[in-house]
Amino acid sequence: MAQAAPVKIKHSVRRVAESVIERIIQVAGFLAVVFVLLILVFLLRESLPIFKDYSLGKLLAGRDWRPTSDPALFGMLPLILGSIFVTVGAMVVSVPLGVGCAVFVAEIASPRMKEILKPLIEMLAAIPSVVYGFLGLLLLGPWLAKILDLPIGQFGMVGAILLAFIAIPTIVSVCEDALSAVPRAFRENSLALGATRWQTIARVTIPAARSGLFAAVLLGLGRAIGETMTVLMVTGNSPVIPEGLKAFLKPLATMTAIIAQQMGETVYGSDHYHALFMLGLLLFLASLAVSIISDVVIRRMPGVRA
Amino acid sequence: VTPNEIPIAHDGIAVIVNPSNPLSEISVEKLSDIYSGKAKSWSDVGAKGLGDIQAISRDPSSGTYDSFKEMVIQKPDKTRDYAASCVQTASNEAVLTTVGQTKGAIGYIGLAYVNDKVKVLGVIPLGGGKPAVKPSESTVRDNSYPISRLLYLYTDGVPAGNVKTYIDWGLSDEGQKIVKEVGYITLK
Repeated sequence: MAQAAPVKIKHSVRRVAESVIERIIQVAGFLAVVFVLLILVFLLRESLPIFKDYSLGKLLAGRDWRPTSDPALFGMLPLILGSIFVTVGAMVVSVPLGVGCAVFVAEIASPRMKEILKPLIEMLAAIPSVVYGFLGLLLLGPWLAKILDLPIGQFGMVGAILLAFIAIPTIVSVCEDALSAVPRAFRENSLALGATRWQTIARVTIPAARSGLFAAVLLGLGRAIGETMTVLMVTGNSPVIPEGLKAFLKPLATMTAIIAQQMGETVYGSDHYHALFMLGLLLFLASLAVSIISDVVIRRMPGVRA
Repeated sequence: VTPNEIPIAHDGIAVIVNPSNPLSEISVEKLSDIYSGKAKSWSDVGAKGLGDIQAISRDPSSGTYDSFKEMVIQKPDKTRDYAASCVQTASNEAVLTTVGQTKGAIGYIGLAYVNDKVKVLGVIPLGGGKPAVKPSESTVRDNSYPISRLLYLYTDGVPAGNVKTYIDWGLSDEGQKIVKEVGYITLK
């Protein structure tokens, strides 16, 4: 018994240390929530004063964004639609490419090829968005304008294509994880029943991983909607209401680009300042909506979770 | 804060077009029509075969954006403003690149940034009747070029101490030599 005492002390020290570490992790978890709430409070505080001079309807449905006119107009409709256009365009390009790429990496590529492909795709994510912007401004935009016979090389589609490339690494990497998480037995059973490789991928593996694939798409969407520098450089930033599919071939402006472009020189506390924060609040709510929707849908979907 | 402004250099805002554009001059009225969206096609301002005008502007955070609005767009009519369809670029360099690459484009940049990828237009002052003026050292300094402005340094109250030394240096021959070297136009 004389020897048991020090062991006991060691145990209790370890227990104290463990509970301290637990607390720290707990605090770290709560801090994330606190930060989000603080950001929300800050956005609300800086954006709500705009309602003193402008009604919500006038802001959201207003067709003219003229911050330096007299009187200034802060119609956000062209910017909201601009953001939706560019983001949806980016998803149309990036979802098939990203999911296809993930299927290839996870299901078809040999282990050696997979070892090369995965880091290469992840490297796409390491390219700063300003570099994509440069490529778009100097190469992709003028080139597309030439082959599509457009008057100018800065338009919505350039932004959508570049955003697609920015979203692809996120989509591929999450999709690939989801596909790899599908148990081997699923594939083996399917193949044993006489299904071809393609039938197995299309009817067994992908359906089994669909909640993960959906999460990947939404994460890519979140990445695309918040991207600023690239769209600021290549879309022309003309706050015009995009009308129909043709609008992809014309200059347009997104919410993020307008905030980045105009926040630097706006007078602190002016209507313009509050209006820009209102745009920020809208973006915040949009990403919040995307994550809530993805949470609900993923929870409802049967299948293997990534 | 009591702002105190001290002129340090002259600057002209050059109106630039793609080198393939046949125009060599344009009036302030026409420029105002273009940027406020009244004139949409190059044939409206006397150039043929160029299609629609792509008006390139700076962004609202730029001083040049405001100067151009005051000295050109609002000159014929105070209620005018930039049309939403203007393509807004974030720097003088981006305006240069875009105008250099785009056949139907027109833009404006600080005279210091002009290079041979673009063509500088002469500008006919408001009211017409006078010949077009090209931006140059003498036409900007004597204000006969219609889109000329002074550049200022700002201090809080009358400058003293190191601030005064710095400003005196900027106004000295040595400082003004640098003004000239970087492409702006000296006070004298």
